[in-house]
Amino acid sequence: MQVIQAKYTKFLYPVLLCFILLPLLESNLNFVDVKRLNGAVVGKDTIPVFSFKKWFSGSFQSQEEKFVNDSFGFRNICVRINNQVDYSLFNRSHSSDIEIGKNGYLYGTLSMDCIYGNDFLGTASISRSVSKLKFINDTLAKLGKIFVLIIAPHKGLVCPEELAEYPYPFRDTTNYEVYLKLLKQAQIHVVDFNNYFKTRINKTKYPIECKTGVHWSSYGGALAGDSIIRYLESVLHIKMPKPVWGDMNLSKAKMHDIDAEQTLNLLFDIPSPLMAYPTIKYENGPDAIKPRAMIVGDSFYDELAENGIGNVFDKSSNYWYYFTNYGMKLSRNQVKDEIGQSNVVILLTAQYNLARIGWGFVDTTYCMFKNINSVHSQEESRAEKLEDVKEDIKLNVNWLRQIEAGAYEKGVSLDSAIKGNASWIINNQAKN
Amino acid sequence: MVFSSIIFIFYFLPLFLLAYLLIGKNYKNGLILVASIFFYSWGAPKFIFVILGTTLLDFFLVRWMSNTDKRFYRRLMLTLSVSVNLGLLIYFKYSNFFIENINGIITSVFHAKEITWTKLVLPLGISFYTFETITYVVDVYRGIHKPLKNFWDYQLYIILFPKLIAGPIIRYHELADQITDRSEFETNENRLMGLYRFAIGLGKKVLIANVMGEQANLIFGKEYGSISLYTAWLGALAYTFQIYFDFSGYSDMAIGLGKIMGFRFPENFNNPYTSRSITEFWRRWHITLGNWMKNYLYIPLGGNRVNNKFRLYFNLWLVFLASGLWHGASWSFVFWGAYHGFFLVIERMFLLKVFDKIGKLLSTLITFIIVATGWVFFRVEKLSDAFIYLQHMFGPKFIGGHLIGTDLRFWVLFSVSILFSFFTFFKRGQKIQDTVYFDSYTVSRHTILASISVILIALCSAAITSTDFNPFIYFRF
Repeated sequence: MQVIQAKYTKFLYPVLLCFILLPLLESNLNFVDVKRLNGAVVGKDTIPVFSFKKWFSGSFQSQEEKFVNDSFGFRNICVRINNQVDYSLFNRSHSSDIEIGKNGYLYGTLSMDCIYGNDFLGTASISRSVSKLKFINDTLAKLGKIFVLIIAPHKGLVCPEELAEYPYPFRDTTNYEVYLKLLKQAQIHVVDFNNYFKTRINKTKYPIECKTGVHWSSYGGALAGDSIIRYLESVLHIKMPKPVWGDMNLSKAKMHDIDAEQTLNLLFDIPSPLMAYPTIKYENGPDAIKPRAMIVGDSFYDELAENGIGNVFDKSSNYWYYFTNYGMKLSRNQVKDEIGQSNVVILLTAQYNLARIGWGFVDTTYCMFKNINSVHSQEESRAEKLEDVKEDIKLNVNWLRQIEAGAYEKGVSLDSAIKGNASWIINNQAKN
Repeated sequence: MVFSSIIFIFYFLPLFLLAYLLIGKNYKNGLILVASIFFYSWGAPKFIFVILGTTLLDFFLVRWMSNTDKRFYRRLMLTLSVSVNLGLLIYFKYSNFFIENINGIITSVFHAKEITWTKLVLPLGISFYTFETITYVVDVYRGIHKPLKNFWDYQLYIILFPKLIAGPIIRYHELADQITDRSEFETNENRLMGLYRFAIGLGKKVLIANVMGEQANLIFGKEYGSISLYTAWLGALAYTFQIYFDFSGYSDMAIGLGKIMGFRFPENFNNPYTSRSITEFWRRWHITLGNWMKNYLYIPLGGNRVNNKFRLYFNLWLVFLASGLWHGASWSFVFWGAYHGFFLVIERMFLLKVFDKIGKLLSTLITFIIVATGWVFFRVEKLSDAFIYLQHMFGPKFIGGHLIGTDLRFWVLFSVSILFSFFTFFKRGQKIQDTVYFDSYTVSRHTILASISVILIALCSAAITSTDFNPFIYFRF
């Protein structure tokens, strides 16, 4: 027995030694193809250069430690192990953009704030924004053009039962609720997909939301695209190319349906039901018209584009992602040219992007039509905004009660707590 | 370079261990010495010369001392060596504190200009190795052990990298013979057990202490005026577990590394939170410091054999004031030492009898609360802030409020902390611990422990590379 034990320990110690040697060997020999991390900066860090001066100041050592920490062999696997442990055992996300809900449902962090009203702009502020939209809408109408605002569905509203517990105090109204009410009063063309998706979530043949994606599913996006085309036909009083649904490919979630999961950089895939990936062709009937469109939108438009919605618009139509052109906001002249050529102006926004609706489109277009120089943020001083939000807090019983409790805990006056909360909201809006 | 860093775990350690395994017996000490000098220089490149210089001086002072029978010269060498070592410690560790306090008096009482002073940086591990150099000269002076013949052997005793920066504080006579010959203990069995111990220590530090530390930092980083009763207690408890798993984890790693090389380092912790009194706590917490204080300060002061009780209480208190000051140059540490000294004195007076009467559970709980409260002085930099914090623990303005930053991971690891802190409260737990740490291993037990070690190292390196939060509390002492 003792002989066996002696042989075993003689074998085991070098094995363990080899285990801790592996990362060093891998970082020099790269003998294993390690899956890269999503969202990580690609490219090797610079190897610190040794000099006695740097050695004695300690800077070489700290650079080397950082370099090794960020580039040792199997680091990506280590990061994934850590993420997987925290995800599987503690429902914890290492991505600041993703919140983990129940049963493997993932939500965008921004969207969590929006659903609980923690990004609420205040009624007065939203009212001013809607007034501008109304002005844009009416001016476009005078020019014979149509303005359509599309609000993409919020996964948290469509699948609320899977939301994680929200750790912060929440309010009894949201940007979405107030915007929707005021937009309706202003008689602006609005396509709100929240209700549409909510009523169909468990009734469609294939999932319209994917638990591992932030956006609508590929299939959900295709259905939404279909509806958008029909809506545009009704408001433009034209017939547009008709989407024809071909083969439906069923597979495990991929592409945009796993965009949230990919951000988590886990070791193993999160199980999800089979997702549908439609093949859509567009038939140009004899009387079909392709309107020229100016589209300003966020990433929800990507699924529509992938399903070929661009085929129903004139070839010269443009899509401006977050109202930018190669990373730069569109200028007033660009907007003028775009609008001048277009039959329809579409603003597609996720519900959580209502807090920054249009990403500059609203102010630029408003100022252009009004022929004024100042834009919203300059026009509306911080003090005015602060008063608006303070007023909203005072009018909201639930919100006020939470702030009151916080003020008691911190031992500060209610007025100062209200001001503090309002300032926090405004600062956050500025950051976003 | 801390043990819980990627560069240590995956670069320094495997290369060193591989070389140590392959190199001939006669060169092993040389290898350890080179590795230790490199290890120390990595963290404190300028101070390596201080440590090399003082050890050279010490070595020759002690050699001269041992070569003479004249009491006067022996005492002179002893005084010189202790003065040089303590002098350096006082200079590097307490000058800033001293000048700050003098400046405080000058400006507030005399309204004069401050003394201008360039703040000194504390050499890494100076508090630990200074105490070891003192044991060398004192042990030789007392005739407990002969001095080392070879300077490099002495250098190795002082600079041995596993225990250099944060202990255990190994008294000279405990390690002397192992430096010259430890071949009997350089077995695969010991190497493996050392590696397991290292992995367990790493796990304690990275997987538990760091999580507790994040929570403690969050709470102690808040304005103390605004924290609730729950939050204040949670912060104190999180820190209580952080410091234990942090330091005991580090000690485990040091003991494990020593064992891989064939050394037998003394234990530094023995489940201190299961203590039934502060007296017992100090027999279980940072044992090697306690032993040092006892043998090189308390006993020379007269120990228990003094004429009256007040002298005994004074000596006890003095030792703990010194212990507090050893931890750091600030009034908070002094107060922390005095706080523990106070409880030790009243335990001698009457409290131990009370603890005996109220039973194991209650006395352990009370001791734990006293210790956890004491850690607030340890954690909060300014003494006045510590008292504000304590007001919220014991005289709360608000009882409710949110428990900030607490998520499932924190609560799970908080529970794990409680479990492992009080694991040996029951006999069964003690038995399991003894089996893991000290019993000889069967093949199947080796397989289980090796697997656990691999998992722990993988999980720890995964956690280390994913976060910037990896402090080590006892580094600054």
